[in-house]
Amino acid sequence: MSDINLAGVVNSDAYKSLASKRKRISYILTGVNVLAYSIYVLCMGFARDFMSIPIGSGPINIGIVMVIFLIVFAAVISGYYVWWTNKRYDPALRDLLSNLRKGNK
Amino acid sequence: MKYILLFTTALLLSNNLFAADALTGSVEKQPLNTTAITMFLVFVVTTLLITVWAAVRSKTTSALYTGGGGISYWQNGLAIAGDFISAASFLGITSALFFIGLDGSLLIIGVMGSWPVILFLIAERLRNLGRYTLVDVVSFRLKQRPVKLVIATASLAVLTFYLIGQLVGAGKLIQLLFGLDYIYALIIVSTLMIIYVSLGGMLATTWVQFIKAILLVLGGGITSFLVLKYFDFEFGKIFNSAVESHPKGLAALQPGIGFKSPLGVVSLGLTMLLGFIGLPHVLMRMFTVKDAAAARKSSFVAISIMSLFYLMVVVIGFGAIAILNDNPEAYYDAAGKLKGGGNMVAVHIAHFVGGDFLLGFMAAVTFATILAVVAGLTLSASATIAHDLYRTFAGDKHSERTEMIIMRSSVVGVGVIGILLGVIFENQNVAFVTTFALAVSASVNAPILIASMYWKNLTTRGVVWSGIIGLVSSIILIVLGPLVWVNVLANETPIFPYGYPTVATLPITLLCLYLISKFDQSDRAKEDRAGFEEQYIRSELGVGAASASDH
Repeated sequence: MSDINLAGVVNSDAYKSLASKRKRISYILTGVNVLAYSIYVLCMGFARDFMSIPIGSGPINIGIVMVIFLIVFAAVISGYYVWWTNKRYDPALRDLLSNLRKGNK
Repeated sequence: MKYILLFTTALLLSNNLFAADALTGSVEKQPLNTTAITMFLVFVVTTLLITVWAAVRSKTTSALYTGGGGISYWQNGLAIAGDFISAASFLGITSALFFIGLDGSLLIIGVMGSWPVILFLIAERLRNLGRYTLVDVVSFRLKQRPVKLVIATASLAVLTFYLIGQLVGAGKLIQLLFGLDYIYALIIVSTLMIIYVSLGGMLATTWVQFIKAILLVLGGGITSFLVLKYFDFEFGKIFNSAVESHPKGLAALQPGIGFKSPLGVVSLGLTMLLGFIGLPHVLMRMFTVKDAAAARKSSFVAISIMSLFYLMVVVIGFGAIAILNDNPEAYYDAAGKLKGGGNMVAVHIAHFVGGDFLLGFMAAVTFATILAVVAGLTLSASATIAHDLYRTFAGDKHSERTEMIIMRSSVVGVGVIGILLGVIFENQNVAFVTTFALAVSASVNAPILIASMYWKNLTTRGVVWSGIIGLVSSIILIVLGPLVWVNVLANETPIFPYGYPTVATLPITLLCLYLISKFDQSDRAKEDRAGFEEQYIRSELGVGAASASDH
């Protein structure tokens, strides 16, 4: 990669649009994750009655469902991010760099 | 008779916000458990053989610190998960669910909430920017010596306090499970740890953690499967029976029986979210794989394993409420306390569903898990001493050979100091040490690390001063808080109300970081800001990142 001008790569429009897509995804996912976590923590602290509302006929309540949901949710959004970066971002970046390299010759 | 909070073994447990009396138990020495000891010996022999193999491959500092960057992503992912699903998680969180019901879930969700953030914001950039430690990354475009000194000090504070908590907890736990004396337990753990780390470096440390993680997931899987079987594979039945058997009844499934103060819950939540992000020994594992893509995949493997494991813990913990309370003669003593102390829930459950064999297996895995976590902490501390401090301050006098010697002597030093501190703290209430470690990680390491990667205007002066202020304010507020002021110094009421000071120290650090950097007009500040573009390019494209699987 040392044969291309890196500052040029980073400032190229093609790279900028790819990088901003990636930033958008990682920021949105971080936001969603922190939001879900905050809702849970705040409800555990301040909305205890809400967490205690039963779901269905048994003693299982919103709190328990939220806990199980969040344990699974972390793996799901992480999986989505890794899938996206592996399948979309990495190949696009590779193409972009090899195009620039060709252009330089 | 020694009364301690066994929860302090935990990396995440340990705070006074718990219903402390419910979780305090007497530690009695158990009769020698031969199944456990045999299994543990098999583990030790295997890992020592691996260490010999790793030692041959660890002839450079790079190999010692990061295994030469050639560890596969799934192995690394399992090792990362292993750092979190420690003896603490299995014993501590199971006990937390057993005693305080739904409130115990905070400790699980803390880990599950912080890891996606590490993946989305930190893992890849960290791998692209650093070589061995998070100190490398923070100091990337800043003035090396002052920044390294401050961040290395914060890292060492986190690691040392964490280590004390682990070692004291380990000594007690081993005494309990194996019938070994506290001091022997401490010496065995420290000696093995010194051998693994000083000879086998990161390669051996990762293998130890990796094998242990597989064993623990296996043990947790078998136990939770048998618990589910006991409840005829009906998920709802676990909770129905829990309500019938828990002394607090339905309240056990509702928030509030463990953590009374709502703001205390928020401070705990904040401490965990950021505290887990800034742990030096965990972040260091990102440098053991070949590139940013592998760091990303490692994180995902780690998150998936933790997710699976914590689902098992939920089943075991809530299942335990009915099982243990319905068999009081087997698991409670005459005084109505859980036999062996508050941390024995998972062990009793393993015994109930799987007999002596599963009990021995889980005890051996617990010993192994302590060893693995302690080894990771020591490796990280000695890399900080040798790489971040010695190398930086020796300047031209630095040599690879001396750095290796310093690294290895630091390992021995940390081991010996660990034994001494373990003896000193044996009968102390050490709940504050892990709290302190997490609070510093959350108030200093994590915010400064994220700012150094994402905020252009960050300057050397901002990092140095906010680091010092964050560290000092964390110490002061923990000393004035309930954990030290009341529990250790025996005062009536704490001056600062919360066990976790993060709710105050994080805003202080952030404010200092922002204001000092913003108004920093020094020449150095111009250099710091000008360096951001180069850093950005490297953090995005990873060019020049030490990619070193070809050692």
